[in-house]
Amino acid sequence: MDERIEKAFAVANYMATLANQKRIILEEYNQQLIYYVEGATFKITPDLISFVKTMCDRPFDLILIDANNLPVKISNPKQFLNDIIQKYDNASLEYFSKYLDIKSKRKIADIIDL
Amino acid sequence: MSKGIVIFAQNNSSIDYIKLSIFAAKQAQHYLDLPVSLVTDSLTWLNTTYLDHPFDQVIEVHEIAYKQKKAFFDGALSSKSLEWKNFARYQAYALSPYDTTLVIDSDFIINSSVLKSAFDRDADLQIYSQSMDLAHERSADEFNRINDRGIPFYWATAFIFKKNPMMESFFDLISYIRTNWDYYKMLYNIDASLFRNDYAFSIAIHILNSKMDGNFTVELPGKMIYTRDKDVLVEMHNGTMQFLMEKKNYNGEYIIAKTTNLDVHVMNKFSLSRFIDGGSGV
Repeated sequence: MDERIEKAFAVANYMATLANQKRIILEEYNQQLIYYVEGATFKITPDLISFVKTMCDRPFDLILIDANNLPVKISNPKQFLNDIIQKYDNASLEYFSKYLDIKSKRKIADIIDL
Repeated sequence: MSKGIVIFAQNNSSIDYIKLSIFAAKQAQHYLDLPVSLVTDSLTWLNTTYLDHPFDQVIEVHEIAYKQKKAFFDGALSSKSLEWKNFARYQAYALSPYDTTLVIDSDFIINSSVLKSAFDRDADLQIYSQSMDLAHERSADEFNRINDRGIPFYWATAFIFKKNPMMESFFDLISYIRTNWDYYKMLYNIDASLFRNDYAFSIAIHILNSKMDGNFTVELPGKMIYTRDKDVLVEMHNGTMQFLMEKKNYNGEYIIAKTTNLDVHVMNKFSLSRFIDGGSGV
């Protein structure tokens, strides 16, 4: 086979591996954003963080709707806010680091650390 | 309230499900820190081959007369037609020694603690309907609905249930569907001739939801991440797994993929078995 065509196929394989690995690290990130509290489950999002921060200072009970559309009363909103911010920070930092890492690699073997 | 994990393992002539179960149990114990019990019809094999097994309890079930076979692939280019013993799952309610039980297949490899807190959720049945193929762009239609125009697909590979009258009815219904499989297969327009727990669970959930989009189940956290039996497990270490994933529309060609701290359903049991034996899964 022409050397240039071989190189083109190698690039295609590299692109397919890179695209697939991006999907996987995104799913790893999504799973790290799952947060359990008081029998309920949340996916931590910037929206959730902003909403809880807004509601936190009000002198009322904080009722949230979880990932399964079940209502839950958060007994300690400030602790909840701290926990979700910390978890969001850690997960986002790790995702960012993984993303930079695979983006900088130019060989399939390097993308998955063979 | 007791919590624990139950794994079903029924060996056939080529696949040592007990070996896979011991590996899956050790992974589950490491990440979830819960006792694991085994349900098996291969008790003698367990007691003579794996004396230092990690199981909390071993529960024996007996083989049933009805047998079915299916093709088990080992990568894209090799397969064997083997007996597929999957009829005992409906007994999970009766056999589980725990009040809240995570049931997993012996090829569901836990690499994270994401399911640990799910035990404390206020839900009778938690099960996956959302899934993700580790390979990019392959069709996942068969895991979205049980057929093109059918009801939603649920994975019997991993689920958490609480013991209560509602769940007892659920498993009774699965038993009834299993017994009358030919009827339900036709009623739900299922193409496959073999009995499959995923389908029986999906039908039972549909019936108990009054045949509507109900809330009888709660989604397990995350997604069911899976590799097919045409894929190959290459390596696994400290929560990281590497696979060769068959390319869409290119039989026998692969791309490589790596996961970190994701629970993965590894359908290629031969490859998983080779890895457990101490080599690469290739």
